[in-house]
Amino acid sequence: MNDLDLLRSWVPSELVEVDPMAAADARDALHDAIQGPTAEVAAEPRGRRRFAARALIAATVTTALAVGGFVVATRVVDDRIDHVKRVDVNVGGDGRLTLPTTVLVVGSDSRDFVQDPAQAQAFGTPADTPGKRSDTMMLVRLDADRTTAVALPRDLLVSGGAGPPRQLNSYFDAGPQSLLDAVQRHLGVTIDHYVELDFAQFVTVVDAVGGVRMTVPVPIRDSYSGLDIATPGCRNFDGNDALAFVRSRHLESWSDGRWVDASPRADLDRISRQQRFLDALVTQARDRVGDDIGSAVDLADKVARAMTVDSAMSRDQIKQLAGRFIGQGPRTWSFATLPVTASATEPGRLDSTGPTGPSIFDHPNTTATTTTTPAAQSALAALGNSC
Amino acid sequence: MMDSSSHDGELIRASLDVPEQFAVVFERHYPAIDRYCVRRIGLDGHDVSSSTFVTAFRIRDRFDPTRANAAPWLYGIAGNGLRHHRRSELRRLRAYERVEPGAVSSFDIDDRIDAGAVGARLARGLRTLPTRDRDALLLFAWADLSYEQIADALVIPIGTVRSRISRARIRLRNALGEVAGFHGDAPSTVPLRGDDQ
Repeated sequence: MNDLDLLRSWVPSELVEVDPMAAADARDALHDAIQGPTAEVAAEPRGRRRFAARALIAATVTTALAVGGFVVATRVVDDRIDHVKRVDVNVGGDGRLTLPTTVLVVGSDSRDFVQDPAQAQAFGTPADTPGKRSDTMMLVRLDADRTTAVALPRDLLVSGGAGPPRQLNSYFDAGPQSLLDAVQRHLGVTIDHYVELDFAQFVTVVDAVGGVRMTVPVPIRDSYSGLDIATPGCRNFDGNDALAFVRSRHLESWSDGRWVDASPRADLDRISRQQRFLDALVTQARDRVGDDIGSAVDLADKVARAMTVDSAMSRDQIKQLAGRFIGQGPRTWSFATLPVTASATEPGRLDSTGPTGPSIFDHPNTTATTTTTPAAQSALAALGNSC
Repeated sequence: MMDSSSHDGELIRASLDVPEQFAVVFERHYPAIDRYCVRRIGLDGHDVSSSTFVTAFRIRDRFDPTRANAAPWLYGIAGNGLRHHRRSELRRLRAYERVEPGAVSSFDIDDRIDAGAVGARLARGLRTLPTRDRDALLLFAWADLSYEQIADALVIPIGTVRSRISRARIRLRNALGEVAGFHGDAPSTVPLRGDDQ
């Protein structure tokens, strides 16, 4: 460490990531200048927004200063982020640095990461489960004031140009590019970035935040995903537990002295459990980090390094996205599931019913309700709630 | 047709006819400029980075369109804006000097270094530098500009950049003194990264 290294790693500032409000203000100011003098008069509402944002940030900063002093950080983080895994895809957007940004997040069941017997024991080998499918697909839109996650059901029928429509997750087998193209074409949205997590990466993320506490109202199990929780209560799911929970499509619950099907809608029920999980993850990571910006940076860095991202994603974007998953940035997270109905042509498949285009992000909290048997439903209503 | 693959000079020249082209320059450089300004003067840095681009847009006809990278020019404009905030920059640095040793950072670059003590001394070192030396040093250390780019940004000869930075580093090392874990170079030898490029 010489003087220059120290100086480079010293951040006498409280803000580690680019402040989206300030960026929006700056963009507006430039826009006004570009539009010419006439437009400059009407700048007032923006001033108010800026003031409110400033007040908020100032409050955060004061706390951060009181707690931590400052953060010796970005340089180190940046160097580590240079080592995140990249995947070469053409995203539809212009690779913009600015908000809103739409990211396709895919949970992959690829076993290609399996390297040792312990992993093979836990997850199976590439030979047992060749290729890869997407267990989870969601579009996450990052706005300045909120994060919106829209789940895409795997059984959604999507036409792929030539040939009959196929279920969405089969496109992933041909690689992320094929999936990206299918989603953009079918939903009419532009995807700016792509992020993928395999099983091991998911486990790393959950363990990095110290597990996620969720309510388990009755014993549950899923022999397919390996989930088996005999003791009801508030349970801290570690990485492996959480993986079995979010992957479960054949959930059974203990009701009236027997195991009953608790996931009659398979993937759609799974999606609503995944949303609860994600909600709990974001909230609890935020609480755990508290006002300590240093540990927020530390955690965001761990999460960032567990992701596989598209080759165009900048360090700032990676940090920003990772930060959102640990509750940094705007507090509001909204969840929605793409509106679907049972396919008229193919049993077990789904057709989308809602509008396409950017408006799919406009109706959050439309999380599909469960339609299990009444008894099992009420017993399970609290499953996955943050606790 | 200009697009995101065009270099800065081409875009800025095109923006003389089609002003909207300048927005691409903004998207390309705003994050770095903004981070630099905030790092130097705190939250007021957002205003400085914002007005940097408005000013740059207004004087864009002065930019040499054969230059591929507008960063040095933009840092130069930002530097003018930052100068108006010199007093608050010094006030901030003074505040950082008072940070208690040991109070700090969950993010240790090196366990042997007491980041609190280092930060206080860095702040003191920076505060006592002449403004022009501090500008050159921080463009090098925080904005990652090369010596040549700094010469461009500050409109001074490259030899002057070299002497300002080396002078600043000597003073910084003196301020760091005997902080635990700091292995400074001997004050007489100043490695010039800019010469390697």
